[in-house]
Amino acid sequence: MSYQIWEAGGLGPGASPVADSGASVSALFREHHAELVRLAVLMTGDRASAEDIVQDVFARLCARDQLPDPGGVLAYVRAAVLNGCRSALRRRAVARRFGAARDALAADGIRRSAESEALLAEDRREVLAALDGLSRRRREVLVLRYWLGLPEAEIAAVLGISPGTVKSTAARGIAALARQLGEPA
Amino acid sequence: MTRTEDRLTEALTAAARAVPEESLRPLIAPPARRRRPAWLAPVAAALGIVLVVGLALAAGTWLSGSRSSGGPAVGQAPLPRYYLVEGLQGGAPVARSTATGKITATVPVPKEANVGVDDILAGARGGVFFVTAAAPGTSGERLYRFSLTTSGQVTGFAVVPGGVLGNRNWSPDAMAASPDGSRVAVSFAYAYAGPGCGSTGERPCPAPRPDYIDIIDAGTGTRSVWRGGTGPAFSVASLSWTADGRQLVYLGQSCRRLQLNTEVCAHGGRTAEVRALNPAAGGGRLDSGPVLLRQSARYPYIVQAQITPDGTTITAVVLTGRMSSSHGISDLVPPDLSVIQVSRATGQPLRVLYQRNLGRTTDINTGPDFLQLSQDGAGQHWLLNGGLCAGHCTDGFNGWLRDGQLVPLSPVNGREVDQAW
Repeated sequence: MSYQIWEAGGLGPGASPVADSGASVSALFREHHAELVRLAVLMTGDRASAEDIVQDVFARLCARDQLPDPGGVLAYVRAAVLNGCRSALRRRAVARRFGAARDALAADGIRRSAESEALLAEDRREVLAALDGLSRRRREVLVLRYWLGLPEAEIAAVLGISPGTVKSTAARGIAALARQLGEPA
Repeated sequence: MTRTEDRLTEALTAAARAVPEESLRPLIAPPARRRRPAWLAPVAAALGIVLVVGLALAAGTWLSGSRSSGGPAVGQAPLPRYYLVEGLQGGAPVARSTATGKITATVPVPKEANVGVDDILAGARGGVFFVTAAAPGTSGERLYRFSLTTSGQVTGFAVVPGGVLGNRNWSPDAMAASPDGSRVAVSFAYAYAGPGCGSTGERPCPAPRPDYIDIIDAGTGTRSVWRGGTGPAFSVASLSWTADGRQLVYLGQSCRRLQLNTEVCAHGGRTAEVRALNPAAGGGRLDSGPVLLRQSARYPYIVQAQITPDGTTITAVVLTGRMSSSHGISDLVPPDLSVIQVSRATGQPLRVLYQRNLGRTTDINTGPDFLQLSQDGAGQHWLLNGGLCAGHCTDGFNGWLRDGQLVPLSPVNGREVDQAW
């Protein structure tokens, strides 16, 4: 079975629309590939997994005959990437416990890989470590809010929760972060 | 913005900047699918039915002459028309047609339950199914029961009494319903979900804990608990019941030797055994029941094992063969997969249902559920899922076993999905 390679900067030679939705999927990923991988890196701490997760979402969307309505497709893709991150984190946790030698060994070494690559200052490392200590939902809300800069309504659409929940989760998340960092909320 | 918000924004931006766009791996698009004429689907479905009926008749005829081998009758029960499969990418579980793969229904687990939780499925006789899904507002999960109609629609979806299962650290991992649907056995796996640990400057992570099994009365919600698996790495890989509900059989895997300074099982350190429990005992130790099958030179790597409803035979997924090594990187598991049936009484192999070579297993995702076997209520048909997911998840597989072949089912690339029929 042959596979087409879709370069980050555009469709590779010989690539063709996969289905009616294929062209729009390709365009979407052309525009947001890096953003989606970075989102997954921030959630998983692991670049290789992040790229796999985004690749997987891309392949699945290509295989679909229909996409969600155009207005909501980016939120849908972001949600799919976050779901992929959750699955990866859960698998990693279980794998660490038993059996998945490669995953587990890797997981021990990669949790902070994004940070080390960035040669982050101690101050930023401290913030990211505190973020890691939050619950999954708080972490997701804060990343979407403070990195992607999404408004509450869009975060709500991505996470499938109400805007009110987004607001309260963000507030609690920031308060918890401030506590961990020893700052006034 | 507060100082905390400023610091967070800055830290996230810096971490994201560490992933330059030009360094990303290119995305790979799957091959284009051909559009099929509208008339093709019903014709293919009709042909499929004719083929299935023909093969079932042929298999029945052939097997009636080979039943002296002592194994259970194979292929006499009708092929289940639908199977349930866990939702992908956070979606709800769906019912699919075995013949066409078409989705016939979506299981109405609460919407919030779809977020970040792998739903676990189990089937009983008469089209009754159970599913675990996140319990909204809690960090645990809830057990739901429902039925599939003869047209593949979900009916009677309702929560099973008994409250929340597990919590943020303990998640349902394997499940099997007694054939009459009156009880459900669920194994729970520990996965630490607290604040960061294990990295420089952090406290050590909590030690892993062995799995345990709950048997839940689907009518009253009362539970009996089975604990005491051997060692911290003890994990329940599969569960199954005999038809009379008097025995619950589980495959437990453990590790007698960890790699130095890790929680990873050392090469050759894995052990596995199939044991039976007496559910009527109301709980107890997991090692209290008899061993039905044990990892050995003949069965060097047992991945899945299920008892047939009559209790005479174990259907197991076993990996054999030599693990390769190149450039200092060894395969993770033996490469030759066999689905075999083994006599419970003698431990002798009775027949091989399916074989496949996994190729190099250096990079496969060998999570505890990377291979999953699910039998139907009659114990005569099997779903086999290989969520190998190496590279870009294109080398997994999924299907049902027919005459030594794997008939593909959606999702065809395997994935680590739970499914049942």
